[in-house]
Amino acid sequence: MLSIYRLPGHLPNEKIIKVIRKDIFVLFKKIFLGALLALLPFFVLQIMLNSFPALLSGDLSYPLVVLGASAYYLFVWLFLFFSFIDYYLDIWIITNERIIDIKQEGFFSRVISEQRLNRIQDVTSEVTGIMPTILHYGDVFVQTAGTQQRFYFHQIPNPDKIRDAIIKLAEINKIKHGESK
Amino acid sequence: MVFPLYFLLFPYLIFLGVWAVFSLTAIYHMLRFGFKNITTLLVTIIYISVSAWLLYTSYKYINQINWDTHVSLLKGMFEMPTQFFK
Repeated sequence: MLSIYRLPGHLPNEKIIKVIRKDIFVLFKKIFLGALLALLPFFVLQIMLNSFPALLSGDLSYPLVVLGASAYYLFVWLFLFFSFIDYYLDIWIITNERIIDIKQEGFFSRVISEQRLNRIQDVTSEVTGIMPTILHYGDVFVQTAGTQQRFYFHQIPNPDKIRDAIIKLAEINKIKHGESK
Repeated sequence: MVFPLYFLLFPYLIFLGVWAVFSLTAIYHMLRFGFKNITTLLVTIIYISVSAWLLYTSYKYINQINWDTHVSLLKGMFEMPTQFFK
């Protein structure tokens, strides 16, 4: 298990400033979809029973309905659990030395990347869309020195505050490492 | 085409095998990479409990069916329900 006291590649005197996950609304959307998927068979069954009243008493149809319903609900439950894992295990950790991006990609892939704060050149926050504007969530892009990829915080709450915090920490870190002009 | 009903159980068992592999992988990810806190433990326990309940409920319904019955796949397949013409 991950512990806040055992960061990947822990540096001396490194302190966690913030642990960020996607906005809770992103998880609610998936839970809502899961609930809809769970209710869907009841409506479908009602419609089917109107057309085929013997559906639940047929020699072949009843076992098919039982096996189908069982497989369907096991799948929906797994989908909900994995949606939670996707939300829960995708985290960004901001420390006084670096930002760490831990990403769960699908069932069998996990990516951990990091960026030193003193290499940060530009931080941009972006909120687009109706729900993100109302609920104050969006993206933060961190551009670093060199040709390296931009660091990308996806659908996080209060992106403006996170951007300000990263800029401030990067400045402090540059002064600490004697890189500030 | 006549076949014993238990033939339907084979694809279902294959599905259960795949589902079990994915579930175990998800639980492993949760316990291995989740934060050491109550949320990780609670969500994992809820997942296992609800899964066990779903499997038990499925077993109860599946167990009531006589799987040795032989059924015909095409018999009556193209007969339209009578209420379509009312």
